[in-house]
Amino acid sequence: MAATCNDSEMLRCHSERVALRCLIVDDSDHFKEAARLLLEADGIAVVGTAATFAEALRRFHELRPDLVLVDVDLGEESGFDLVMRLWEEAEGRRPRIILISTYDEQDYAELIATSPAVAFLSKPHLSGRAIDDILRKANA
Amino acid sequence: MRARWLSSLLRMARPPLVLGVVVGVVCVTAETLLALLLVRVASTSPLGLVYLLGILLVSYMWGLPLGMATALGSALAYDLFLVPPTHQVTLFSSWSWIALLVFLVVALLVSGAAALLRSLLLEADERRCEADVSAGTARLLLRAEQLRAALPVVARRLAQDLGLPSVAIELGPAGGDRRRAALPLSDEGARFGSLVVPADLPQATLRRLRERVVPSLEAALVAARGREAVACALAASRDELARVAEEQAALRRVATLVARGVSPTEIFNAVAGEMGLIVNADHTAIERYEPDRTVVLMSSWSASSGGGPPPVGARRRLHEDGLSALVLRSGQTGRIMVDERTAGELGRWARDEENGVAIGGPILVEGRLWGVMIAFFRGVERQPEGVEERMQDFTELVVTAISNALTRDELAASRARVVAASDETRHRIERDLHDGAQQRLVSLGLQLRMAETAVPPELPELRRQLSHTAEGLALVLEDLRELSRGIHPAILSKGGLGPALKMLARRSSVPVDLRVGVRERLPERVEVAVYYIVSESLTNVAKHAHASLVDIDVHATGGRATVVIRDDGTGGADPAKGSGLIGLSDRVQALDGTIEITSPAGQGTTLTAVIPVGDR
Repeated sequence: MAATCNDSEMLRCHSERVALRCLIVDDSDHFKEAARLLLEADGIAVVGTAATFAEALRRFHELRPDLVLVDVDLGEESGFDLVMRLWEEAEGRRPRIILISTYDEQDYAELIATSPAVAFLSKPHLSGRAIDDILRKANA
Repeated sequence: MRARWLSSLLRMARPPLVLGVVVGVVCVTAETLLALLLVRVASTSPLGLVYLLGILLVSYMWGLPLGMATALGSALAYDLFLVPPTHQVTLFSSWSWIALLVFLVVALLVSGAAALLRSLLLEADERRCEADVSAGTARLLLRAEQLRAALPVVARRLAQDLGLPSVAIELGPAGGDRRRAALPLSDEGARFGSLVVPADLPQATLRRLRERVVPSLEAALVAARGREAVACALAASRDELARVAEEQAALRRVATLVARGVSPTEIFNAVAGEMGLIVNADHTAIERYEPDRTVVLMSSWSASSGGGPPPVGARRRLHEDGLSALVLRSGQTGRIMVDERTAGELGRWARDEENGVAIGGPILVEGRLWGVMIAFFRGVERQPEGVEERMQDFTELVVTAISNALTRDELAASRARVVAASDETRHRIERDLHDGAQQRLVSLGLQLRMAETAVPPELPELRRQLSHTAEGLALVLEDLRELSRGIHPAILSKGGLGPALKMLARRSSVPVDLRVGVRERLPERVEVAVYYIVSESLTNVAKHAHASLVDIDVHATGGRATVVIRDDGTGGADPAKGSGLIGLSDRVQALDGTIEITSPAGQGTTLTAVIPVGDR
């Protein structure tokens, strides 16, 4: 892993720098647990998790995370709607939001394109590096 | 011609008696002169015959007495001038009186014969005249369309032909009075009318009328009455036949509608109108009973256009004294007089101020009293007949139409339920797969990757194996995702038709030109159907059509969703062969929609589906 971190805009930094604070919103406990372990191992601080729309909003205001991973599919609720809401509610410093799903990106291309989320990440491809790449692209 | 001439000659009134005397004297004188001339060339005795001419003429014209006087005169002249010795009456002086006596007897006989001939001829002429009159009367009476209208004409003709001042033929009770004599006209002893003539006619004329005119007139009148009755019966049966034919035609028209399976509303309208015309009603209506003791108007019809009927679907409370309540109570045909008490019952469509007769027939569908068919007749004095029976034929058609519609609706509803249940199941399976197996597998994959990174560098084989397993797992996930997309497109529930169809277009191996004109979300069953139509069509195009472009147009307007899918491929597709398309057809029909495929060889394939959007 790269130890240098000279770009001040760079939010994500391993080891030496302050870890990226992440909130995971997903209704699958199995996934949340697996993702938390994986991301923590990759140096991302998972500061909280939420399973529902309301819980996600509450945790978001409590924790003020740098990054929110939102599952497209929250049972009866829509992850796209949640993203829109988070985007509207977070005034000033807006968080980076990444949509995640077991579905293929192509399945939701239209909805993803109109969403303020920075990117879509397929759940099987979740990793610290993948998030790193997304954020670097978004900042470029 | 000859008969008429003779008749007019006979009818001439007798010339005056004085003229007869003069003619007699002249005749005798002329005959004597003629005989005196003839005596020079012939013998005396046959010359007495010359006098017979005069006797004949006078007897014929003036009757027997003057004829006899002429005969006596002739005998005297004959004796004086022709029987020798001349200029001397020889009757008592010689034997010549025998010849004179013979002459006198012959002369008297001739005068009697002449008078008799005249009376016989007169009577024969009268008879002939009466026969003419009777034939003419019979002709007039039998040709007449209406007997009563013909009677004055016949009477005038009788008066003219019989030379009477006035004649009237009256049917019914006797109409005679002091100035008029009524001769009875009867048929087998039953008096049916009178021949009315002036009372002051001579007895002979009256007798003649009674004996010779009345019988033939009776016969003609009876025949004419019979003929009129037959004609009336024929006309009535013709009218009845025409009515039956009309009714049958009306029933056939409605039955055709029923057989064509048009909507019950259309059938109700047709029945209300046709029945109204057939039973000659002023208004008709069909009402449906509701469980809460109200009725809903299903259809109505009015003979006149005045006063618009209440709208179909109007609901009113049952009026306890009303016809609909009566039919509901009895379950049978009912008839009421509509007056102030019950006017409110029908007042909505048969205006309040109208009194009349209303007849209602029950409509029984599958053993249940479904509704009532009502016919209203304006005016209480009119009691329409046979309406109940004819109403029944129409009611049966209504029942058939309702039963058909119920069956059809039930079938459609059941198909729709089957489709909806299957959609629901697929949706649930897809969700279960997504929430269960897929999430677990994803989590397992992530854990494997963690394990992979945790493997110490000195164990490269283990790391490789773990990596391999993770890749395998990713492939399994990919397959599973494909499978669940086929079971139910999650995007459809989340994003609606637009995003879902765009996803299909993106994934299609043949380029797609997609236009979606759907503003808002449609009912799920419609969205699912449209999605599968497009999905199945794209699969078919990719497999069979060898097309380079597919044009898809989906729009929802006017309560209908329309899908048109056109490719530029080889065409010639047979919808019967593609089981996918049959499944689609079932699905669309379950939604009361239509699907149509045209695929001429070499000209591509066009699929058009129209699905009613209906209520959510």
